[in-house]
Amino acid sequence: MLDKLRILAGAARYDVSCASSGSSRKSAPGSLGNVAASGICHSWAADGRCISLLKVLFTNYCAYDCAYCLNRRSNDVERAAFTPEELAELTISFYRRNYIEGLFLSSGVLGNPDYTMELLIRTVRLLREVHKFGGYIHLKAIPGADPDLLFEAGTLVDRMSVNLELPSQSSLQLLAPDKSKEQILLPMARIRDWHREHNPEQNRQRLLPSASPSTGPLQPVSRPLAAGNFVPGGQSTQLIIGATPEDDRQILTLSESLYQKMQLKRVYYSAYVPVNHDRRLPELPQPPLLREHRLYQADWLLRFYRFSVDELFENGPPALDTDFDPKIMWALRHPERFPVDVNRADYETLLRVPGLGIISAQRIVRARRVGRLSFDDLIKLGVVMKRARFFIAVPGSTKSDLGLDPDLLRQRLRYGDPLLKPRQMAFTDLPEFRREVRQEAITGQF
Amino acid sequence: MNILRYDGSFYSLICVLVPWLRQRYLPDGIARENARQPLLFAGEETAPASSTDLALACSACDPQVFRLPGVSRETWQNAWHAFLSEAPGIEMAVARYLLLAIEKQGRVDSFMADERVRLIQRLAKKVTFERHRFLGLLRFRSIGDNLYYASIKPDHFILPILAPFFVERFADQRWIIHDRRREMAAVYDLRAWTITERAATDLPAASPKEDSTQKLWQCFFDSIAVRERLNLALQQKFIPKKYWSDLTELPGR
Repeated sequence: MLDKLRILAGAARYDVSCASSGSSRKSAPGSLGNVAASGICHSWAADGRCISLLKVLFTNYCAYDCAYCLNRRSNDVERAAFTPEELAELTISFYRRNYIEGLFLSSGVLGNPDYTMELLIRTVRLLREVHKFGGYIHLKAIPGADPDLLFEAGTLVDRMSVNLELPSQSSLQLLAPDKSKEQILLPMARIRDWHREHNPEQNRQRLLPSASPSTGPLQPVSRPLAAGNFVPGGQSTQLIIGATPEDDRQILTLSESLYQKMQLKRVYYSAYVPVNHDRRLPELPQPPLLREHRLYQADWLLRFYRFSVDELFENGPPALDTDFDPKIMWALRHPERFPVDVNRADYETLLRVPGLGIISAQRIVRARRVGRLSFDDLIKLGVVMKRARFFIAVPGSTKSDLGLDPDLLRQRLRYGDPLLKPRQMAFTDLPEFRREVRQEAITGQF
Repeated sequence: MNILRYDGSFYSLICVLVPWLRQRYLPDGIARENARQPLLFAGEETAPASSTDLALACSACDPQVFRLPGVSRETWQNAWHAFLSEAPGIEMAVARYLLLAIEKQGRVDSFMADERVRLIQRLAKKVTFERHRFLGLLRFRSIGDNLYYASIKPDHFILPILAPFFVERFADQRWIIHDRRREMAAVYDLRAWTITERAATDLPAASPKEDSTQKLWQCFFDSIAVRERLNLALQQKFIPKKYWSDLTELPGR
């Protein structure tokens, strides 16, 4: 069992999703397990990524031969497979000790997609029906599996995901010849439609408009089910970054359309880690972690800060700035929008100020109802002024911080105050820069 | 000098404070009687409002009972959570905060730049943050038939707000959460939970399968890390070293 777990957890580690959020369930009286809406991290691995779920492959035997994948058919690696009983029991024994929020189950394709999907369903059925397990379950939909099986799985789990992996059809063709974009998008659309049908409440609350009504062949047969019981946590996907030539704008445009058209809860970005030698793949000295980090930041702007991809890249190259986070990048291109009057600006405008996050913006809106805010008040509210001070007008603001010409502003943002620290250096030398990237590597959380 | 005395519980603190707050006055000081002992055996002469039931004494009590005008549910929660921080002088800080709440008629928590409000909100946040952290970092081990034990050393007295979460989650298993910094424990027996004082000496031995399950968890923990992305500083930022000794997975190896 120890060897199986070592192999099948090791084989699942490149899947970055680990969130246990987006769903919420009270425990049934006297039984085991519930789901906390916020998601809970139970530990952090040596790479600094959060561990929330027991993340394993059911098996790493695989019929496919995707170039980027450790478990591809042509690789000579140790192979193993759980039985549904073993895996259900392991999950319960971990859960009872509060190691995990639940199970994240993916798999290589054993024999054919339907057979694999059936094994996964048997596992989660055991958990739900025999062990009465009420915790979180995230299940991978196996591309190419029968829709009936997908639906059945969806009634048992909190979240489902289909990994797109590569950001374009041509890259997919090159690196994953056994998969097609259709084969991935079709189940995604089905899950969306079933989710829409069975969770009407949740869908009304969504921020983003649902753009495309489902079209003929994608329309699933309506199925009877108690409302709220089909993947209440929605679906997510993963894109590998840096294995193929797509630029940031293309990637984020894809994400935006997945959020809008497929109503995904999350798109995860995974810096490409070379695990195979293959002439179709680039040789990277190390995974593009900074790029991954910037994509997550931009993704946040799409989902929580009401930015669109077109706005972000307007008047600029199709790549995110490496020196600055995407919000600063946008602000530097739009000097006409600043400074923002913190005592008057509406919430959405506050959200666009570099350095102001959702919590800061909410606190400002609340606090200014009972009195006019000064520079010092903002500090007491816990607003971090390091970046914000260049973009807001408030009683007590330093005049010399505002209305700076963009080049000078860049300089100030990069080095702090040049009058205090008069030295020239390349941005990559800057310890703050490195620290930011290393300490904020948001991946699986939330 | 008007020094109020209370038995160390939030309930008792509020009981002695309420008459003052209703008159819009603050006492000169508030003293805690003899740490926790009187919680159990208080006579009327030591604490004006003593509670004999620890769970009640440790709970937030119901704000409705005290009918303080202007004290919203949010304000009440903040006061209670800040109190659990056990910060020195917390009693007077709570008193000042509640008095301001009465003056501001329900809007006190919008005055975030006011020192009286800031202090309470900051302490409350620390306490709820630590609670949230332990929702994940607490580790049970099996010590008998359907009986589980966890040891924690939290900075704040979070047992009263931690236990209800595990009551809901692990409703079908008996468990003990032992706060070793305070030598107190939350105990759940499938019907109800309570907080007791307990000595650290009577720990039962682990059950037979416990060792192999722990090994499996350690194996998973090691296997799931991506070596190419090794970042121990980030790991330590999320799990400060002070928590390592109670973690089954042994981080930092």
